[in-house]
Amino acid sequence: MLPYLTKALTNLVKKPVTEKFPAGDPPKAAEGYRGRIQYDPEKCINCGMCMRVCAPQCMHRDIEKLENGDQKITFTFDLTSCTFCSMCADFCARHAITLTDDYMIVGTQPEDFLVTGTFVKKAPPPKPKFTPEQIAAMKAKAEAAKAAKAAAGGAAPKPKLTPEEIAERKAKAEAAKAAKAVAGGAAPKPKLSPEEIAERKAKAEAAKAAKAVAGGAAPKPKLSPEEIAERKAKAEAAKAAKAAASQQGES
Amino acid sequence: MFDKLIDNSMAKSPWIFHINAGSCNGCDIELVSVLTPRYDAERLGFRLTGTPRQADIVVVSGPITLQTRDRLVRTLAQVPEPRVVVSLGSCPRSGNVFKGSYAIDGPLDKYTHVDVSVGGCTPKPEAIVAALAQAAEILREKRKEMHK
Amino acid sequence: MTDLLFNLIYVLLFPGLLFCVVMGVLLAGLDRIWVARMQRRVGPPLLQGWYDFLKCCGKETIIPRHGKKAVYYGAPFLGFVALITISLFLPVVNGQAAFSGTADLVVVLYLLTLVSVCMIVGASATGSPFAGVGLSREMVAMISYELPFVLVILTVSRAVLSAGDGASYTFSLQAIADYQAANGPLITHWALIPAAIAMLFVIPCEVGMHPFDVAEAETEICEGTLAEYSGPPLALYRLTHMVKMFIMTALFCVLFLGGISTGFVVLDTLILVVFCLVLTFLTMSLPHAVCARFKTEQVFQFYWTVVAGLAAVSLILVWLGF
Repeated sequence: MLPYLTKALTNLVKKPVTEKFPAGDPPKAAEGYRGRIQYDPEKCINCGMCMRVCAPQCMHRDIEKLENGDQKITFTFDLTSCTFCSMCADFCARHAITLTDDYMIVGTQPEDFLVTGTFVKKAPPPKPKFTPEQIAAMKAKAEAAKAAKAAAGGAAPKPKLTPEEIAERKAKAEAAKAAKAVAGGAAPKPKLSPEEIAERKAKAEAAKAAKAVAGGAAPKPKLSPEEIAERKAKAEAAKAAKAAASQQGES
Repeated sequence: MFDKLIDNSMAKSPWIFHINAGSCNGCDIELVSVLTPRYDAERLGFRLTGTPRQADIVVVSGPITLQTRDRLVRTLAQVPEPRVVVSLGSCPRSGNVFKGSYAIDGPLDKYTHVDVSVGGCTPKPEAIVAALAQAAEILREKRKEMHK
Repeated sequence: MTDLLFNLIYVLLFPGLLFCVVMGVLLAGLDRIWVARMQRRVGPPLLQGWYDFLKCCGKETIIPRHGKKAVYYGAPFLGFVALITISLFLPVVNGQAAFSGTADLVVVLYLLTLVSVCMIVGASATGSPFAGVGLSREMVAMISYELPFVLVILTVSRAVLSAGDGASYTFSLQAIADYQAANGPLITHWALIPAAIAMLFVIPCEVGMHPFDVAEAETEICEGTLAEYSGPPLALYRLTHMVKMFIMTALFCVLFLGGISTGFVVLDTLILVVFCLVLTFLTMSLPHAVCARFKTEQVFQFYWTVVAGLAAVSLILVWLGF
């Protein structure tokens, strides 16, 4: 508590650090402060990017068609919805939006918070109408220019083949493929006829049956009970002898 | 004669009550920073009270969420006349980025008449002080209406 | 007839209603300005307390559904009247009190308790749970400061022996003032210094100033006892709070700093005012700017150990004859 005590007592004689604000001008905002939006309708091209990137959707656009095809476009920025993130200013291709450093956005009516701008977007010039003779004349001029260009410079263009030539080339390719098949690679797998397939199937089944007969004929020999008892006694005698031998070995 | 004295005192000693109707707290921080030594609103007589019964100016921040909607209306009804409602930030006026969300219900205009609005997200403390000073003047006008 | 006139002047002008209210507003305003300056702020204008009072008079009064109307209006009024009555017992006019008797110190003690009890009763008349919490805290605060306060009163009354009728103590403020006029202020007696320090601690808790304002904890319990008050009753409560600052500091002056009399009422009053200002700064503004609010248990513990201990030390020394 004591350090606060000395600080409090020394503060009594120092000047207060309060800003003068309501008694004077409001202080200037920091550099780069994002405040009230300023919209320059003359630079706007109505691309709508600002409306697309605005997170709170604070922009409203009115398009009014005029008689001669022009459009009267009004943009309204509603500052009561604005987050002052300056995405619109960043994305505007023509830099029509800037965020000034005016932070005194205080009002009593909703109209105090609207920033609007209107501009007239002129319609594009109408497409020119040509008569058929003019179109033919323009076409001929273009072809002449192209022929002249071919004669003068550049390599000969690819020659256009006639249908007979195409058929000729196709036959030549097939002959070459057949010759290659005859000369090189192993003979291709011969295609079996349905009778040959049935013949082979029957052969395989006969072989399987023969194997079954032969195999089944000689199964494991079945022992009689006397033979089983005989073998058991032999095994036990051998085990006893082994045990006696190991015990002797230990002692 | 007393009436004139009382009217003038209305503008010289307005007490503030703050309601957070679902705000992100940014505007609330700027509001309480108005009472710090740098922006000192106390020299204009402002004081933050803890109860709506003693308040003159009610400052609401935040989009009105469904949870706070009933409490907001009940609290506003507890404030004695004359009273002034100030909406802080852009959320109470329009919902800002929360517009159309399932959890918020409408701008503050639906529930009460808003006298002064401060725009900004968040507004600077100087703007809040200017709005509160304007609200104090409106308070004086309302008191004059009351006893006319 | 002139008696009645003089009494009316005492009650309504000096040292009654007008003087108390003016002094209260002055002290409250200066306290807020000092606290602000210690926090390097500008602070409200000097008459802010008066503007607050007028503004509250201009608001509408809303009585909660569960509240009792008669007590809601009557409690602040009774508390205020009790407080003004105390000022009539303080010997501020030429060493004479407006009304004096043999046991006015006890009457003063009871009237101060009555003021706090009126606040408690008024709070309970609103029917609000916040007010219930606030008034239980106010009761704890009352118990905390009553013990050292009573010990200090016993000390002072014992130190000022009534020479005439062989009594061993006196409760008359007049007698205390006379003794100090003859022997110098009581604070110069070294045995009474612990009691003076204890009284300095009792002042902010009695008035309800930060950091001992457990009853009216602003944002913790929605203003506690005054949670549902609005309009003129609230204005009276706030005025009571401001005047209490003056009454307590004046009581300290009478008990420990009396006996400085120049013979002119105006000069005496001025000296009283200066003493009150210094005391307000020391006991109310300085702790307000430096400390955070204490918890209820901490207040109770502090007053019943440290402060009561100081007062008890002084009491023992005085009873032993030093």
